[in-house]
Amino acid sequence: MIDDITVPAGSLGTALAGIAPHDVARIDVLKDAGATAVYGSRGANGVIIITTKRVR
Amino acid sequence: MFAGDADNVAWVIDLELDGQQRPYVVFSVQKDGRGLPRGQGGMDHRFDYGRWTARRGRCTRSPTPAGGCTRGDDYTGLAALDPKNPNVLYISTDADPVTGAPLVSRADGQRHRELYRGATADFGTTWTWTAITRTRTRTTCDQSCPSGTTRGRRSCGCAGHTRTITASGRQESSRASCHESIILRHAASNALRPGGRSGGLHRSGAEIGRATRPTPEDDVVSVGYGTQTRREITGAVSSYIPTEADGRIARIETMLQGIPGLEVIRKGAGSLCGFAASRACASAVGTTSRSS
Repeated sequence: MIDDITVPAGSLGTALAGIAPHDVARIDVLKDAGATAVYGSRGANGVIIITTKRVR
Repeated sequence: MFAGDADNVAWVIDLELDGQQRPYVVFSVQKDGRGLPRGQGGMDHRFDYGRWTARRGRCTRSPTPAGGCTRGDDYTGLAALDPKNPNVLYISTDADPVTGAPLVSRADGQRHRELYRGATADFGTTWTWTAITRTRTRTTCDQSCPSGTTRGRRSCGCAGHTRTITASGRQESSRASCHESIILRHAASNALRPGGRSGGLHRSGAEIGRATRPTPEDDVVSVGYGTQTRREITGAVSSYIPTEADGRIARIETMLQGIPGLEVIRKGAGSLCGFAASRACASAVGTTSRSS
């Protein structure tokens, strides 16, 4: 998830490459089923949430 | 050293070594159990203190009443030794450690466990008790824990609410911990200084908190009766807030590498890339054939 938008399968590398590191405000990694429940089956393997400074 | 029987069932709570590598211990003693069924006996619990002294060549013992435990039999409340000062002891009790009278909080009129600091000047024969908390409103079991072996800090806990009180006065809820615990971070004085009539823990803790100011990665996490530093724990949620220096790195994947429990594997463009469980895989440019 980048700024609450799901990164489609197959474009993670591209999405990360499109973010300047100095624009990143926070990175959260959810690893267990409880934490990722809100994301449904798509978050079954965990979720990385990247929040950029732009959305503050 | 302790002659136990059906009416004196002992359980070690904390054990430390003094500067001469001689042990001192705090343990609980359940009185009047006699093997009676739950709820029918064994409601009288005491804290005892044992210490090896070269002068006597044996352990001294000093019973300290914890009073009848309202939380049911088989639970005394816990205690903690000061690992740097064998003359100091912390206990959690719902009975006055001197008189044995029930401790009723002025906040809600209910009986609660409060924290006390005990000090002895005669190898545990007599104790002077000072209340650290007096107006608690929680009925959960809890315990006091002074400093520790890991850089002056240690935490411990018992089954109860998911709540942690730090010496800085903050109350934190921890998803990773199923214990209510109290973490006392020692300042140079190596002792928690009890405060006034209420909120003493907060006031004295604030002083200690400012003095130590641990970094987040140095925080300790309750893991049953032991401790681990936070950097060694991979909880359900890990957060990383980049610093200004992090902003100068070239790739976000480098930031991800610093998150506990997350492993980043670089692969060439077009290769399999994704993350599952605690493993992250990021390609330099490119494609992701499997991703959450």
